[in-house]
Amino acid sequence: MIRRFNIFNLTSLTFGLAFLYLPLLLVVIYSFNDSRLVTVWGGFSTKWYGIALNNDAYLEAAWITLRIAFVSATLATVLGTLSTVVMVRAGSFPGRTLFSGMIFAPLVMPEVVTGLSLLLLFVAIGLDRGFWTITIAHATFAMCYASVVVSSRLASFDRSLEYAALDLGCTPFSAFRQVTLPVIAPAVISAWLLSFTLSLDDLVIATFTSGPGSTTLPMKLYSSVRLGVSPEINALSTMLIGIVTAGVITASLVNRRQERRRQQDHRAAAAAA
Amino acid sequence: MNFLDPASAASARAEPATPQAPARPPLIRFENVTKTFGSFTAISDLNLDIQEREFFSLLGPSGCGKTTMMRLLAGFEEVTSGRILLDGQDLTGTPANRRPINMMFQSYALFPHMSVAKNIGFGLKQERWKKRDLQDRVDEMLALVQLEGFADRKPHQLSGGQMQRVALARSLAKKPKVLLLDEPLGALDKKLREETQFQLMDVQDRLGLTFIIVTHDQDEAMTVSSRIAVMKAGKLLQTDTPARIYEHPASSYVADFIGNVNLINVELSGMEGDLALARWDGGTRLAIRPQPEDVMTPGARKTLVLRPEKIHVTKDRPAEAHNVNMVEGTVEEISYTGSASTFLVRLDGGMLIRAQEANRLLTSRREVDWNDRVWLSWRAGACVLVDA
Repeated sequence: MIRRFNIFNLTSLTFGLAFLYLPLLLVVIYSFNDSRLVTVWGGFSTKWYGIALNNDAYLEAAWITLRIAFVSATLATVLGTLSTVVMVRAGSFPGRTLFSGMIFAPLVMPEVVTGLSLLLLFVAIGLDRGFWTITIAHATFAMCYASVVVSSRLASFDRSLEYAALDLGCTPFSAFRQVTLPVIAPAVISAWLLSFTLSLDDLVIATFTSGPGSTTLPMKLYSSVRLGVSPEINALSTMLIGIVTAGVITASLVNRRQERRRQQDHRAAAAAA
Repeated sequence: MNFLDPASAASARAEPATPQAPARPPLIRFENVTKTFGSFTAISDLNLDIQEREFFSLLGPSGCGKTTMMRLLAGFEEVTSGRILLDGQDLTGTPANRRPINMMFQSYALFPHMSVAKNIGFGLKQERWKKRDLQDRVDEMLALVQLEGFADRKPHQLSGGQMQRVALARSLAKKPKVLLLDEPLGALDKKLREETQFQLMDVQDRLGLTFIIVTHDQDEAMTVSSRIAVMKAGKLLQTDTPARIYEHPASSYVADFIGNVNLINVELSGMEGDLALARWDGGTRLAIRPQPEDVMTPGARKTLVLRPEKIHVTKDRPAEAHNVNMVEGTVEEISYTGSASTFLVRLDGGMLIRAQEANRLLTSRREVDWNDRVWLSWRAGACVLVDA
């Protein structure tokens, strides 16, 4: 019999988790520090949250960040879903591998390169940098993540469902709307949540593509840290950690529920067969 | 040999509704249809007429083009050349959603996010039926497949057999002229499959529809169909009633594909009264009652098609008669399948013959055993000749 928690397992689990989360935990703990000094514990307090939430500069940056995240996530999800549908549907055509490779390439592209190339593009076409350039840039790199999430679901999507809809009188578009989209909806939602969080915590690409008046929260934090870490930043960071964690957990819950349901279907089908 | 005449097929099946009166145009006509995918030819210059109210089977090994024919009919693929007529009208260019043809999918393709009632009503909703009429038709369909009370279930809450019935109800809800069934019973276990076969025949008969079924299961095709088309590599080999396909196959391929068979190469030697005489390899003389359409040229090489169940296995030499063939051999293998036993008998010439006897006696009383010397005998009228 395997003992689930022997000394060795327990130790490696503790070290692994500590390695991953200790730095974050410190930030969270020190965000509740009463003292002005970041590294000296002065008792529990939530005052830095109050101060951070009253800092107009931070609030403005947070609002811009949320708007960018919302719009870019929506754009990325729509584009990512459509391109994936085309890729999965199109079958084989000359240059298919190249094309699908190009959709996923930004996943492994250094962010600095993506940011720089987008900056050059925006300069070349004379687009004023600001809210929209960051949004477009975020949509560009989040789109490939969205594609990955949606394509894994579409790969197991039974194409005959769509044929059945066509057979029963749907046009191709209404078959997609009434059958395909509802069936892959959980994957689309989780793609959106993933894109949203990616946009929320991006610093590098935003730095390259932002302009005056469009400083995002991560940029603001980064520039503040260079002037010295304040407990206020810990508080803000903690809130950011909270939002991102919530987003990622929701995305994985949505995915898990969908997976469970699919397994249920398979079991039902297997039991019937 | 000419087996392709639908009129003769009609007379072979004694059924009043059989619609092959020569005056009526076919419901579906394939006219020189060819379908290629790149360099692969799935259907090659195929001609076929299907009459109204037929239960028509497309039978063949996987890759023979039967599914492609169905997809061409449904409108999921377009013909490369030739045309398909429905009621005399060319279907070319009509998209799937505007054809009065519905399909039941092999995987059932039930919409997982919709209830049973929504699934069945889906096609009607696309035609913007009034809510009341739609409800009535859905109820009618639920009653037809005996699933009253399941309207609000989701597909994943159903058993395989129930899903199959929902899929049938959904494909019938629009009362199509033609229903296509792609391996409709493939996912069901044997017992359920047999029940469902009879249910399908009953539904087809009651609604008076034309059913076209694609299957690789010959028993299924034999059971349900009024006519069967046997396909191979994009061509029709034979289109006929189940009985004629089984007993009068047009080629040794068809004979071999449908059921078990002994194929014996013979050389015709002449006629004796109304029986043809043939020599089997070494010289065993065989008598065969020829079919009216057989052309008997002495010296021609033919293949004798002999079904195992037509052969009698006895320990004693049967009485000599001019219309009985007999050979002697040794029992090499006996396989017992409950209702029947199959004997593999090695003839003295070296050839292995498969013979089947119904188990009229209990196995303990069986007189033929392994390694016994036995006589195989069959009547001249129990076998047919095909071109070698």
